[in-house]
Amino acid sequence: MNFLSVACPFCSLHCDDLHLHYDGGHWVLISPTCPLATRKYKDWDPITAGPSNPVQEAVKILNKAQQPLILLTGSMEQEVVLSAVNLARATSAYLVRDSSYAENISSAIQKAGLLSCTLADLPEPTDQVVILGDDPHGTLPRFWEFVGNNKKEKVVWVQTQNIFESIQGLRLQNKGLKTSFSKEIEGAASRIAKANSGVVFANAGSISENENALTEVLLWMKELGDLKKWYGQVLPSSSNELGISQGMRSATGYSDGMIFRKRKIYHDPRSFQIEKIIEYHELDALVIIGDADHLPRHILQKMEGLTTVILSPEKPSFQTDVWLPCPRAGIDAQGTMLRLDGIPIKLESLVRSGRTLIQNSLAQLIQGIIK
Amino acid sequence: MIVIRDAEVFDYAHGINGTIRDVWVDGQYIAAPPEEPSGYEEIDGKGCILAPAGVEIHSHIAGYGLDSIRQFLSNNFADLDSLAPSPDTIAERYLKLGYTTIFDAASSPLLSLTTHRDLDRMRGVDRGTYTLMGDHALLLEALASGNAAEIRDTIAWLLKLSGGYAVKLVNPGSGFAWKNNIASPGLDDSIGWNDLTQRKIIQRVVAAVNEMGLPHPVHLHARKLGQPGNQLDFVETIHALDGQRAHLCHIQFYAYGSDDKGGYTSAAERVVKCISAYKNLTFDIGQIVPGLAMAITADTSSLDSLRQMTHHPWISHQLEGEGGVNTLPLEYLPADPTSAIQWATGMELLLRFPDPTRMFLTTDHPNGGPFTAYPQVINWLMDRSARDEMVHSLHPAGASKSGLSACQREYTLEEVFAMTSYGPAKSLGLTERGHLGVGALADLRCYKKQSDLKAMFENPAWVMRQGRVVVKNGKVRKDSAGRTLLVRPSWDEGRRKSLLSSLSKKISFQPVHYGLGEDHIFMNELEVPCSSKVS
Repeated sequence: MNFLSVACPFCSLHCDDLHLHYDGGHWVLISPTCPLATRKYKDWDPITAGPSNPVQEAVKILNKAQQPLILLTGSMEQEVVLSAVNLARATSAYLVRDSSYAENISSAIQKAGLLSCTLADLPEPTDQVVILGDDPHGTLPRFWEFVGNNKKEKVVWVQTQNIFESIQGLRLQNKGLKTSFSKEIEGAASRIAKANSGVVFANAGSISENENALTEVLLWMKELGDLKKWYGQVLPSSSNELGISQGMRSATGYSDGMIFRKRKIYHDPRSFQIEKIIEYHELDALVIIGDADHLPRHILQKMEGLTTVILSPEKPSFQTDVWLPCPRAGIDAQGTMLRLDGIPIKLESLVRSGRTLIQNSLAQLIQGIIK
Repeated sequence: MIVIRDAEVFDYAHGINGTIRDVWVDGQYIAAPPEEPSGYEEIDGKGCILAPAGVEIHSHIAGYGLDSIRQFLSNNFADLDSLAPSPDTIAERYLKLGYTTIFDAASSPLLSLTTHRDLDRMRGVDRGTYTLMGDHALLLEALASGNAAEIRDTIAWLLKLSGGYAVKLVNPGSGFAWKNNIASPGLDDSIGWNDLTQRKIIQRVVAAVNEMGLPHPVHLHARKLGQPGNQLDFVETIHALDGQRAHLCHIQFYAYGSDDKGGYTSAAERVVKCISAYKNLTFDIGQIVPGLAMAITADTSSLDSLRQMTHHPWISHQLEGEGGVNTLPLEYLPADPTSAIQWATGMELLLRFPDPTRMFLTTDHPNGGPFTAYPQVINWLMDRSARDEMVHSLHPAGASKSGLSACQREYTLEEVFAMTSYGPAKSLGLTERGHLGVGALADLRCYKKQSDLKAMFENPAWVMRQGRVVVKNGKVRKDSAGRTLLVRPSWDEGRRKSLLSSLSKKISFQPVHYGLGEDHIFMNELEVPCSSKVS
């Protein structure tokens, strides 16, 4: 039996974890080989029927809307981002993300002076690995295979619940200041100080829970970057999170928090956040592009009562006015995703579902609105 | 057909220097005047200057590096808009300046999907990119073997996987050395890969590319970028090329002498003396303009030195199987002596070098400043009083530590069009561009004559791309997608299996995903032929 391994869309490592086999003249997708992909692939259901004429319904909503908001959430291929920007421009909409933590941390890591690199270029096994937050294994099942399972023994773990104190301890210890921190911190600081180079992995999902910790983490990283050859890498919580940021920046200059007025873009990431916009601005339509069920509960609650159009591969579990079913890149559509280290990976379409590509649906919306 | 009547025409290739004449266009091409003209459209060219459209040879306008820059500039709209606008805005601005063909200066094979994502959005212009190879593990392996066929096939395959137009070498071998903690090697020092030295890398790649007949020769970024006293190293590199065909980019950054205290001086005169002798070499200048700029380069070791000197934060992203992409904010201040000397060095090189068909106008956007400053630079070149005014507005070191005051020359229009159009087109091997001969592409720019040269070059009356007016009175019509310029040199495809196998050992994913992939289809491509075939 012939097997073919193809890149998987379900986490930001995009390993070749989907297996096809050749069966009587055609390739059949049989199974993913990692637990996360297995679970997500099982949930994927291209058969669920969508509503009839969803594009016309969505166009009606957008034509009536004075002030729409377009929200990008979860994972989507890079090709969609440009179309989302075009829709925002055509409707003078707000354009926001549900989360920019990974992007903010990634950008801050780089600007702190830490080097970054692709996974095969990570420092040799003798060097030090620091993990900020939870073990990435849950969201990136093959993480340790890329980093090297042998490095697991050398890891300094900085757990989420006491991240602020731990980092503060590491900083003070590194500066040789007397502190009353635990022996673990002292040991970790000593190992980091001895290492000629190392890598810090920052689990975005964990750090985002503590704003103070982020500032402390960045100061610490800056100190590391000033001293030695240290690398930093954010671990995003959803697939292609950094790719969406990159796509947004390429199209607009910014990665989040903007509003379109005629040909101009106004950027204010502090004010133009999903919750604040819903709370303080007169919105009359919400377009969600991506996995809507990925949204946190508190945002879903705030959305209640808003006229909503959703373009996503899965049928949302909550009430919506229009749902446009879309294919998923890497399963029933082609599309480009950015691996967490910045390498663009072109995902292939493996099966046919007949669903319209998101960018084509968005183009139809724009065409309808202009008419 | 279209006829442009009674324009003052400049066509360096055909010795036409401001002659009043008609230019005929048939479809996409320049045509001979018909014997019995009928049914044609007429454009009045009276009082206008007509020349071939601009050809950009070196500008960082696409890909991962631009994205890094945007991270630095997201809180500063004016500089973001000037130095790293979106790809569609970049295309629009080039068209408005009268440029219809533009080349991105460097693209990593690993990240070439990102580069082409941006290039594809540059509607209305023809565009391309150069593939970074100087630290690529596959090529270093081939170079170390010394096997000419293996070198050729590796270059051809990497060009295919990356959709590149030419081979770019950036301080070759130094990226590999930097990653392995080897101090920046000299031209004849080992880079840490067998007995490879930078001299061997340059000579073997240049020889291979010329043998393959690529339309553009190796596009070389030399060592010791931006460091005082680097003219000695630059001259050494020029001699190492041994008269072979090559293009050396942003040479302003290599023409520095040093004073007693190790500070900057201009060594333009000495550099011009050296490079004038090598007729197979072309150059672009990388002129700086005062204001904020962004360093963007694959030259990790040079930028590492610069960031230690400036204490600015940088973004450095190292790539598996090759070098890195690095960015760093810079500011050229009029009151800063180094900035003044750098400005004067660029001007001096341009004014001393006699042949505008071999020395081209660039700002190495955004390293020296934005490409939109070209009209300003042209004004300095054409108008000595404007240049003197600029000298007086800068730190006195600009005048005292350069030979600029001795340069009386003022560029003519003919020379400006040669350095922005005919010369770069010729160096790029684009035989249908940069001139107005019958059969050339009808890529034209037309200016209303006026005494304010900067204003004139900022606002062409109209710009034509392949027979269609795409800019008129500052308004851009981008109804054409534009094309991606590519090369597909001949190679021994029997080597594909071993290349794939070798690549798979150097990267952390399946080679089938590498770069654009082997089966990438460009929506709008133009393949420019190479002159030799594998027998």
